[in-house]
Amino acid sequence: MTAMPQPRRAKRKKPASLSEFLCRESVAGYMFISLFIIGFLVFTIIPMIASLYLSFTNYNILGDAKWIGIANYVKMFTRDSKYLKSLSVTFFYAFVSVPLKLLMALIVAMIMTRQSRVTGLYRSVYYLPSIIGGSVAVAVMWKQLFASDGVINSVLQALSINSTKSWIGSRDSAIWVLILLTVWQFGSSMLIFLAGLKQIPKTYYEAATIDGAGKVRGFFSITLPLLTPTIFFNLVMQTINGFMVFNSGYIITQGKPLNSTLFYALYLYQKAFTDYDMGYACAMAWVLLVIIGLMTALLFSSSKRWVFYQGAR
Amino acid sequence: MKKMLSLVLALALLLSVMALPASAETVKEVNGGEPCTIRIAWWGNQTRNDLTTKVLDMYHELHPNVTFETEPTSWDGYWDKLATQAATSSMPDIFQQDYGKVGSFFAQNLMMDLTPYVENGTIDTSRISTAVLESGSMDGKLYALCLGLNSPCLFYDKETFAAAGIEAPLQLTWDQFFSISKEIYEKTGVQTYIDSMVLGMLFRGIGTSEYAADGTKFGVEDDTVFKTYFQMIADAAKEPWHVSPELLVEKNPTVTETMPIIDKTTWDSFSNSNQLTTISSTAGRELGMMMWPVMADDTTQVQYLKSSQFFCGSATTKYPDVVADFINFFVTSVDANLVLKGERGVPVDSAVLAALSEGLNETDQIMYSFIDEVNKVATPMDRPTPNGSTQIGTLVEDLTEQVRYGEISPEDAAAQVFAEGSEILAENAQ
Repeated sequence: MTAMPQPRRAKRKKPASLSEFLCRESVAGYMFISLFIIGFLVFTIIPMIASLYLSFTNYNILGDAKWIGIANYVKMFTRDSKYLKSLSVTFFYAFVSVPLKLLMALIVAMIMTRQSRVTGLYRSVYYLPSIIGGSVAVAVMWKQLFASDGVINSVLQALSINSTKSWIGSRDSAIWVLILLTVWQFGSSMLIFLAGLKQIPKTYYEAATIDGAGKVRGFFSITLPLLTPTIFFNLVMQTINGFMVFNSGYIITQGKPLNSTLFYALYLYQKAFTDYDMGYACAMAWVLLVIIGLMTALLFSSSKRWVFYQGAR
Repeated sequence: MKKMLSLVLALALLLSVMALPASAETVKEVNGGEPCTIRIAWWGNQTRNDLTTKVLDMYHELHPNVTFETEPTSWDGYWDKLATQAATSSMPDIFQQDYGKVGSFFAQNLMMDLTPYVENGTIDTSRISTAVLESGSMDGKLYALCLGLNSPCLFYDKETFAAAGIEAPLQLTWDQFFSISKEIYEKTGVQTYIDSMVLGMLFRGIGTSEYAADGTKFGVEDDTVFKTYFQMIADAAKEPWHVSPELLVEKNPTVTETMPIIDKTTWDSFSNSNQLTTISSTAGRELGMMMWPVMADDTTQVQYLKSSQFFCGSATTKYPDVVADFINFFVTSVDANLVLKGERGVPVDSAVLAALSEGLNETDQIMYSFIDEVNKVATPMDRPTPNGSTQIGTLVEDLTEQVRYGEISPEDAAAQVFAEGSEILAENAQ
């Protein structure tokens, strides 16, 4: 019995045949993920390294890149008022639209948890804007809705409010039109909230009801604390998306009026492809990466104070 | 300067000698009959895309072994895409080129030298004037073949003029322009739009150019012209007859389909003559053409003729002979140009021009007679714009918008353009 393993071990020491090599578990594993790894290297890591290098150069795409050190970064914060404007627009947009969107998603999710025969239909209907929301067509439609001779003004006039206001043309309302578009696309956050809500055990509410707690108390003392991990997840994802907003500003307003909708990504695009200032655009991209990184880190470090994980303590 | 003057003279020749017979078109085999796919890119609009696609089909019928992959885009998207393709060595075999950009593409060796194909007869330039060929030549070699000539023009809505009972002259002074705008608004409610293209013409009017010859500074010593321009924008913006800046956000004037003249929000549009076909067909009605307004004390006529656009071959194309043969077909074939109808500008091949002149429809006749009128008075066109001019253009656009909203005074705007613009030009010159 003890002699049997010996020859087998000896056999293994021989150079493995190709098929044997391929059948090893670790090799098969690497083979399976290699597609992703190669894609990740070629389409993410290498371009990132290239853009880091280019951010220190003066590069107009057609010509060769010329090393200029940190001049791009210095110019950004000292001599480019349009850049600072785009920064403030983007922060405003992210800080306003993300909480509004999550609030909207939570409210609708709460309503959707009620069981009825049409709930499924409503869920699909409310999710629809998120599927089509990022598309160009919706942005174009939004532009039509809020034009001075658009649907919104027609409805207002029908309600005998005399409005000929150009919602996307005036500087105080343009950004709100874009924020509204984002808030309207609450579907994916809503679905995540729905899943979160369903995981809260019914027994908690039953116990609370017996103790005499009403619906409002139940929401603030049971639903909200137990939902904080879901809220946290949504908050992080939406904040990251918020800083990268591009489509709506590009299609609906082109950053106008008076650069009041000039999102960071939009200005970056204009620098890269309108002015052919690719080095500067790369530097902007890296600053954006750092900003998003910092915001995410900030959210994570704050999460210890307010996110409650069941069974964590 | 001399080159462009001779271009003008050459056009005069073209327009007068229209009776040359078209040579019989013979079909030669290209690429040895082997199948090949040619990628071709142009900027434009739906009208141009449709016409161009038709001509590609005609070529495919003559040469069944050649198939095309088309990459049509709008002006904005076109240069983004082409620059990216140039950086990754994946440029289309044939691409449309602009007078303002041909220099930088030449500097980077991105275009195919067409001279050998002119010498071996693939490209027949015998009926094209030397001046036109020179506008696409660098260092004595032909890199870009002109597809048509055009001129800046002011489109106006004929129906609105008729409704207001106003006669449209060939060229207005700015004072007349302002008073006509007012009169039209009072009688019909149709507004007016003045855009930043005006700026370059103000420079021409006083016999100078926006940029100095070497491109390292402005062509003027102080910001007077900028002041005049921003004052004009501010004066107009105050008036009820000028379209509001809010509305301009909605009706983007840089996209044909949303131009305010299309739905009669305004009666005017500053543009180029070859745009007539497109704008008229998008608007669905006939538009008229005027020369650009001038200042009463202008010393120089502002109108000029220019090569509207070119076709180039990519330096890295695998099928240079097909590229050359196609460009020749596109520019010199009468049949092809009967389809294209001069949408890219007045044809440069005299035989083509003669053939086209016979069967002009009303819209084309307006354009051809306009070019004829311009040709009588035109002054040489400006030098190609220097590096950094796009950034200055963006700056002017931004400030123009701020002046319209009353955010900044015309004086401050002018001072800012002059200071920041000078800085940009100096930086780019290094």
